[in-house]
Amino acid sequence: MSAAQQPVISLKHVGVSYWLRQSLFSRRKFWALRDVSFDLYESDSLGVIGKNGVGKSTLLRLLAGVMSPDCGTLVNSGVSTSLLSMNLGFLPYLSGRENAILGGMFQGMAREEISAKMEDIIRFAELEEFIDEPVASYSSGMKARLGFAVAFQIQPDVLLIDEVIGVGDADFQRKSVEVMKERICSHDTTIVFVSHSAQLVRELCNRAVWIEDRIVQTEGDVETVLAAYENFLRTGRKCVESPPETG
Amino acid sequence: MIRLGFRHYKNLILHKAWADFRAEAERTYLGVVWWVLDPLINMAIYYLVFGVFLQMKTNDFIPFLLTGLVVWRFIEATVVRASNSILQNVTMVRQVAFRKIIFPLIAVGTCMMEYVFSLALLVVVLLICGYRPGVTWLAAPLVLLVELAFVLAMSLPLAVVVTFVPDVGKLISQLLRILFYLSGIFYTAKRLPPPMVPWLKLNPAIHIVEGMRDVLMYGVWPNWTALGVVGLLSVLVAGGGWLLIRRFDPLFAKRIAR
Repeated sequence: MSAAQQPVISLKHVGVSYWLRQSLFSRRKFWALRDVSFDLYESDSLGVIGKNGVGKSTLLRLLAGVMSPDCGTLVNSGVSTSLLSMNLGFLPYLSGRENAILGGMFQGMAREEISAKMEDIIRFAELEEFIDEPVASYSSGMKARLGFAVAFQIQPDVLLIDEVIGVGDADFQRKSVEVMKERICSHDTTIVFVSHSAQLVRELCNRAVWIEDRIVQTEGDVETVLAAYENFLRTGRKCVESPPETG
Repeated sequence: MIRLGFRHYKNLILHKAWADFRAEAERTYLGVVWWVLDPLINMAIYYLVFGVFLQMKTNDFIPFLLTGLVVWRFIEATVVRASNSILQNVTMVRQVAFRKIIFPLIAVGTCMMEYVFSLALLVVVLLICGYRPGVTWLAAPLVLLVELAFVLAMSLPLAVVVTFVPDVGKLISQLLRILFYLSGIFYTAKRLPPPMVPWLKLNPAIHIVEGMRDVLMYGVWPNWTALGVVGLLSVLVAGGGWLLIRRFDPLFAKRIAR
């Protein structure tokens, strides 16, 4: 659908390495991502699928600009990217309202912008009676709700979402997944969604990338990629090419 | 990546410093009173040890000691807090792409707010002891400015070093202890053997401490040359620290405890 467009972000053979300290004087290079290439187009919902520990979170940090690649190239055409982060370190002795303002500012929103959206945040987080109480008195569910409500206000060009979009109790979980789906399906934001659940990726994304062994195994439309991924989960074979093109 | 303007960074730093300040005040029952009590208790201890036991007491020992301690405590508190600031916020560093310089600057900001309280205490004690504001008090903000530059010069490079080599953080309090004893907090350079004095003057902190005493207690202008040199060198080193933080910016997120 977006083949003629310029990609907003383009990765070519990108790798990211960390140094692992083994003892005082010896350290070992560890590649969290080894060879990742794909293009992200405007209003894409790109699902990144793979088992735990294959470098999906590192990929999101890379796209968020928190890290830079150690090899390969990442070209950002000038779009803003943000990780949906629900927990940017609350100050327990300050009220929910003040923490909401701080959290929003750390994610790049102006103070007035957050104040303007405060009513929405409070209503969505269902914290009407507690918003001026110190966060120290909140339950973990309340904190998660506040974190999500604030994080959901940010509007970058590209929104990066890591796995856990269901937070809080069952009701709130349903509600947060709901608004998230709405946002993803509205296609006015470009989304990169990381998950190990084929089900969610199928539901939410139009394109997918499968990462295994820190290498992109296959990318393309959701069905092709998920077929390869599910086949791998069943058989343990990374036969990317084998499903015929007709499928 | 999100591109944030200078105004946003400025607001964020001020707002977060203020939030941290209040969070700290809320943490205890006495709250802000502690920023007055702390230096007072501190002074009482040194008064007892050096003034009474070791007989170093002079007529103006209380204001002399308090001026030194108040000035010193800002240096110590800020350097400790700021040098650990990036490491302490590593979860945030790993999630949002903003300039890491904000963390040490927030730490400095919070400490400055606390400093206001101990400076107010100092003024009150000076007035009680019979000192009256004179024209030299006008130079106090300049001395404080030099102190701020000195604190930044220590904090910014250390914030980088501590992030990558946390062990250095353990050494910082020891180094500050040495600097404390060499800063003439509870003695004047006049009481030392003359050959030692020039060596002591190599310590930038002593000029700041003496400068504050000169303008607030003795009613004389501070040693402008010494303060000028300290200020200039501090600005240069702090600028270097700033560049260092910029240079290492994309690497901070990788410094993970794996």
